[in-house]
Amino acid sequence: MAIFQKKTCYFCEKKIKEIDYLNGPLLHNFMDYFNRIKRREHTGVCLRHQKRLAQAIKRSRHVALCGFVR
Amino acid sequence: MNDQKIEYELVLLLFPSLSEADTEAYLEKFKKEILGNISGEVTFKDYWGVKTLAYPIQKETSAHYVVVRFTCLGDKIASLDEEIRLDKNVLRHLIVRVEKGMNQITSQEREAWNQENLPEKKKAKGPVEKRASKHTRKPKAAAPVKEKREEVKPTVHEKLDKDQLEKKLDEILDGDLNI
Repeated sequence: MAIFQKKTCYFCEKKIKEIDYLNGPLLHNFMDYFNRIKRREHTGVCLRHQKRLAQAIKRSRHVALCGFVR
Repeated sequence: MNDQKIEYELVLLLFPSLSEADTEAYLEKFKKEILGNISGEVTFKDYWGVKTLAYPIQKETSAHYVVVRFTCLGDKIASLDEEIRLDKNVLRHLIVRVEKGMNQITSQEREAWNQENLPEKKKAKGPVEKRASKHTRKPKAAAPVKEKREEVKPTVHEKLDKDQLEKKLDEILDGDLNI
């Protein structure tokens, strides 16, 4: 009973080029309960932004704005 | 190429045991001595205050957050990085090269942006629904849900019936009294 919905990239919609790695609450929306990065099929993020998002999350983890594990 | 100055962003986590005056003193020292030695210039500074960490670092659970943007020659960065690493006031640091699209915003502006934009996103996100559907995919889980629905519906009808009954009873009673 999977419902297939065409999703649009959040960052393309907002016209965000570079993702802010210091914005913890924003990045948390693209991570799951265990602080893993969500797949882009899950969130609808485009490939270009998914790569930048992953980089941003890894940076924010280093400065302890996001966790590695829970 | 080597003469061109490159813009960098530095995030410093300072020990929470330092007071605010200490952090300011350290930042001035950083600006004058550490950056001054390599002829770097500070273009932007933002002090966040003490924030709790997502995970403990060196048994500390909070830290002073400072974001500094500066320009300096690219080949001096390695020594600067090493110098900050060995500094006893610094809990952790991160040096990032500033790309074209990166915005220069303060923490307050960021919070304001989040308040405007994040609630909308939660509605449009939708993975919560997907998660629910993932769990209900199992045939075992699906069957009880149907039963529950069936159980719930009659109770609603009963409530409605009761209300209607009460109204009818009131009407009848009124009628009786009138007679």
